[in-house]
Amino acid sequence: MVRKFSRKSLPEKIIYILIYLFMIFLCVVCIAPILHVFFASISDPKYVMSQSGIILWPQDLTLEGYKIIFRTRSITHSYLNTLIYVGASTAIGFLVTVMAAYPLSRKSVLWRNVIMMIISFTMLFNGGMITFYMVIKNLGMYNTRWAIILPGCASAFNLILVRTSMMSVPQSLEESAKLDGAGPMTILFRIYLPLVKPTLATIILYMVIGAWNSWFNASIFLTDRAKYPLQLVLQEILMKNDVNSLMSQSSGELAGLADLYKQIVKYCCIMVSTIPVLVFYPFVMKYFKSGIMLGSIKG
Amino acid sequence: MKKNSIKKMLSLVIALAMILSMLAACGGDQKPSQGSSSEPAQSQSAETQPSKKDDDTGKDSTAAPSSEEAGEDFGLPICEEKTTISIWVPMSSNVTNIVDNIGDTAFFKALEERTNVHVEFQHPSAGGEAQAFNLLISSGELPDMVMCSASYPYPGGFDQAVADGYFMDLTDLIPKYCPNYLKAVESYAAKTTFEKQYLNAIKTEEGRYVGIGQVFIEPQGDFAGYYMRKDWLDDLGLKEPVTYEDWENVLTKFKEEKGATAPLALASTGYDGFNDLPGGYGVNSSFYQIDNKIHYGPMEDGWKDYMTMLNRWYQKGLIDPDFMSGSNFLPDTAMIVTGKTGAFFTMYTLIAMYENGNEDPNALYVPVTAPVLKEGDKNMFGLQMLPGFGGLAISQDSKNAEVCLKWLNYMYSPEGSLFVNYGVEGDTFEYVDGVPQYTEKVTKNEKYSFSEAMCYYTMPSGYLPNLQDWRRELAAVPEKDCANYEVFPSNKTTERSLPSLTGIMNAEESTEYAKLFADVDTIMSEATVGFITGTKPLDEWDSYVEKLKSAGIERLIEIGQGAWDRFMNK
Amino acid sequence: MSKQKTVKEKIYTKKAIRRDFKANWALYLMVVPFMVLTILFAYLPMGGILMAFENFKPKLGIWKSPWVHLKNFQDFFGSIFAWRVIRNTLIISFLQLLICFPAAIIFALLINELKDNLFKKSVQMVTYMPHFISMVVIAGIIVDFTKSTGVISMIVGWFTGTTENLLSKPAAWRPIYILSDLWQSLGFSSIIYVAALSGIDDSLYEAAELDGANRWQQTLHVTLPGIANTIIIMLILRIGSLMSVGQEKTILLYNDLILEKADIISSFVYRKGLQEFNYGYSTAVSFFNSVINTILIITANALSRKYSETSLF
Repeated sequence: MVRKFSRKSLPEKIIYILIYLFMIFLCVVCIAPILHVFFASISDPKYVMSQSGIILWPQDLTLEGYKIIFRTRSITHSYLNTLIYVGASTAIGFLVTVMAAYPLSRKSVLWRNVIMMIISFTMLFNGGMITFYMVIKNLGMYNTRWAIILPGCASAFNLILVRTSMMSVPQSLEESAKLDGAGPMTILFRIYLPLVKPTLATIILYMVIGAWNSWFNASIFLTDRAKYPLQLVLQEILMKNDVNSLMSQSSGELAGLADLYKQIVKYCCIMVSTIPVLVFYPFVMKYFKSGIMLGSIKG
Repeated sequence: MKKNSIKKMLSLVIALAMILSMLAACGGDQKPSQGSSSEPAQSQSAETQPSKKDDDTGKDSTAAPSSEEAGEDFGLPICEEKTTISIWVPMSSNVTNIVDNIGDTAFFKALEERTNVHVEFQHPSAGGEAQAFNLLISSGELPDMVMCSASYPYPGGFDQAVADGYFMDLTDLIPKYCPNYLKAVESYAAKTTFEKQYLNAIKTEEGRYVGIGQVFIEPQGDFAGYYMRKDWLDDLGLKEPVTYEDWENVLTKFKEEKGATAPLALASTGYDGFNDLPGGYGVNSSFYQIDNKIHYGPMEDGWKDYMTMLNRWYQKGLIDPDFMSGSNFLPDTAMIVTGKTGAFFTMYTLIAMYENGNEDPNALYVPVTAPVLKEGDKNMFGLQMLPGFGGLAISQDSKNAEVCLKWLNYMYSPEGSLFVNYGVEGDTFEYVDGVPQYTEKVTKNEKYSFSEAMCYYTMPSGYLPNLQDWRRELAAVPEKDCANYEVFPSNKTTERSLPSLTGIMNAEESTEYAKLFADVDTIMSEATVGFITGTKPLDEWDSYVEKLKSAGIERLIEIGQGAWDRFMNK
Repeated sequence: MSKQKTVKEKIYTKKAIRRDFKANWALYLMVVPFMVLTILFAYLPMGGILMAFENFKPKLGIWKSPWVHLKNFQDFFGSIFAWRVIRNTLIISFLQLLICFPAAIIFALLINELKDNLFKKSVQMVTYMPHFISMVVIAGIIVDFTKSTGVISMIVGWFTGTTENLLSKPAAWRPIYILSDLWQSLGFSSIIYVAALSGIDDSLYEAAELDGANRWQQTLHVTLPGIANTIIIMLILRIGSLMSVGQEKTILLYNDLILEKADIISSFVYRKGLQEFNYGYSTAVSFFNSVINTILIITANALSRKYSETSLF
């Protein structure tokens, strides 16, 4: 697809070098604060406090911050909860979204624009939290996992993305499949989905990360702490600035020092909640490989 | 608590302080109440000298409630057949590590055994209390009891909540089923210098009992104020400063000779929770009264003088250059323990932590009196610890009101109060010289920190209403750190103090007040920090006052005056 | 699509409807699950919009609360801060549209130019990372870096000569806001374009190359048209949210000194809500926002339909 570097002209080479340098610069800008957070999370809290610039290397290594977090009663449990929420809402969300996107991308479907308008409308108007809360209560979903899983599943934004990319799939493909007697579900899964893989990867990424990061619904719908997702537990730690409750030293004096750990516990929280998503990311990435899809069918 | 410059009213700030103090400190548990209780703005007049650990004056000197305070009991258990009541109350942060529900602590299990009342607790998530309370109210289905707090107030107050059909008017029921509460209130009020105000403030504006709050056995003194580095003062050969001039001198020395980059750690608001700093100019950051006439501090000349002074200090580098993006109540621990600051506003229970965690092993902190213009002057804003909005309210739909009240009554009885504060004799406490003291099971527990153990084996401080002995928290405070109780009140009077005005307004007034006050407060906050840093020159003082007027400050004063007059004539 | 609009009236005839249903009933069935979720969680709660016109009393419910007509709107526009927060909201929003929006596209194009797969993946990975950090923490980092001794303040200090707390300078607020936005979301918001880019047919590039087009010309004539649909859709959506800027970052960062520049509609309403518990008021403001957004999105959509053949609906 792209010519070999050696075959390029000089100005092109310069531009490429510039692009690489710029990218490296961006990476440094993005990663420096994160490294700062990481190094701070394993450094001595007093060192972190007295430091005003970016921390380039950890000092007086300590894992106390992580110990404090994992001593929190609910944290391991909440990891599991989060996995359930992420898995279920992504699976359900993915299914309903692609099933709706396919018909709505077909020009032969008469009401597609009306339906799209009805769906897009929800991106603009919402009834506010109270009525949302009351609907959840009346559906009997209050303090159940469904209240966390279902409401985010039907995202108009994701639907629009998938539909837009499906619209560029040529009509002819569908018609030849129809002649072979394939039903709409078969056409969707056999023909359409493979063709829009990059978009699917995008919405899956959005769904997973959205579900992973979400805590607000959990904070208003769950009263049972055993159902808390990870982010809500971390949010409690971050917002309250309250590390005392996390400390279990038996000496009162040490408990007083808890305050010193506040800062690094925050940093540890970031690492604890970020690393799993970063591990997940490369699995999605391979679907972004350039040019495999449309090229192969057209050719 | 990053900066939010959302200024709330004083009571709110203090409520926050309560929470913070509870979270951060040695004892973990102190203060009249945390945000969730009924007395967020407790304070103390100079005259009521607070009791130190071994204060032996007065008949109630033992920490245990004496029998004279006792009310009648309905006997235990409270009901023959096990009754279940439900309570909506935020989780106590000190036990989140141990249990998922406060009902699972050793204390509440034992309480259930004694009373035969099973309590089903419903907890909102920490940090989401206000949101959860709003939704609870809007869903219309309340549990038997709801913990109300000044940090998420019901608009229009308790009277409005009764009128709207949420909370029960307990005026007739309390004397019948919860007489110990009334006795505790009367006994406490008699020990203060503001008995009348206190007794009035316990009721709503329309004379009802609605929320039941925590009551102290003994008044507590000034638990917060300004502290300075004693070792620095000694090194420099300085005395504890008294006047603003002394302060300026001390702060300058701290900067020049001790390398403090933020000699004074000012709160992000530009004043402090108790108005210790502006108080010497005869003004505070909100409403006050002179001869029963209401004034608004930030539009008085005293405030202008205060601004002028702080502006000068700021220019000279005596104030933390980052103060505006800091916290609005307690200073950043990091600045203290790294010696960047030498003067700051904090609570007595935190001092041990600052010293133990300090980079400088010689660091020593002492309380200093609030600054005044000239020696002998008084700060006229000693706070009166009056109950504000809050407390445990009973739902109008509840079928268990009688059981609820009797259950609460137990916690105000002498026996109940002892159990609530100290647990079981021989197990979690023992009498030492007639005073209950925690055993090592609480103070040196193998599994839990002191604050955790205290909240696991007894009622967390400021949690559910009870007859509270605040002195139990002293178990975690070194004796030298109790000097504040003498130092802080020594130059204060309550001459110009006011209770929280919203607390004495009727529903209609407080609705109008809330609307207008929001804008006024925004203008004031913006201008105050602007004047200090100089981004807003002091020449603009007049236009600032005009702006306050156009936002309705005069109407606010008028509303406040009306409410205050009524209150005084009650 | 653009043709269809002109014949709209004739499309929805009884006959056409019947025929369409007969042919496509299975397709409509596939939309049902999505629609059910939308109705349950988006449309049922919309009854709440009525609160904008009420003095909402929860115990009375939405249907019985006293009707106050436009009073909530009058209160908002009557407030001395109303225009200030609207202005601030729009300025932040436009800056985002002018800077963050194109930046993500350019970034995606640059990523597309990288050939070394490992390097490309690493760049993507690293630039997406900031997105995962919770706002509370980001705010903490910003406060840290912009205080008088912070890294960013020091860098700015080299140019201006004085190091000071940047969060106390009203003039610095918007740059801080936009740059931190950029930092946090540049990588992540480029994902969608990267995905679209990977859908472009390689043979198009080959053909262009045979025609002698250089890399820049290829970008102009193959790459950009290839992702134009996505760009336009994203642009329409972005325009449809011009009036909405989330309050979270603002609330975590602002202080009294910069309130004048920092206060936006959402933070204002949030503060009001905290102080007054006033649902009617906040619903009224968000309703006002929604109406403006709707007008914007419909206009943008219509313009786009007219000139580019791509549209949302």
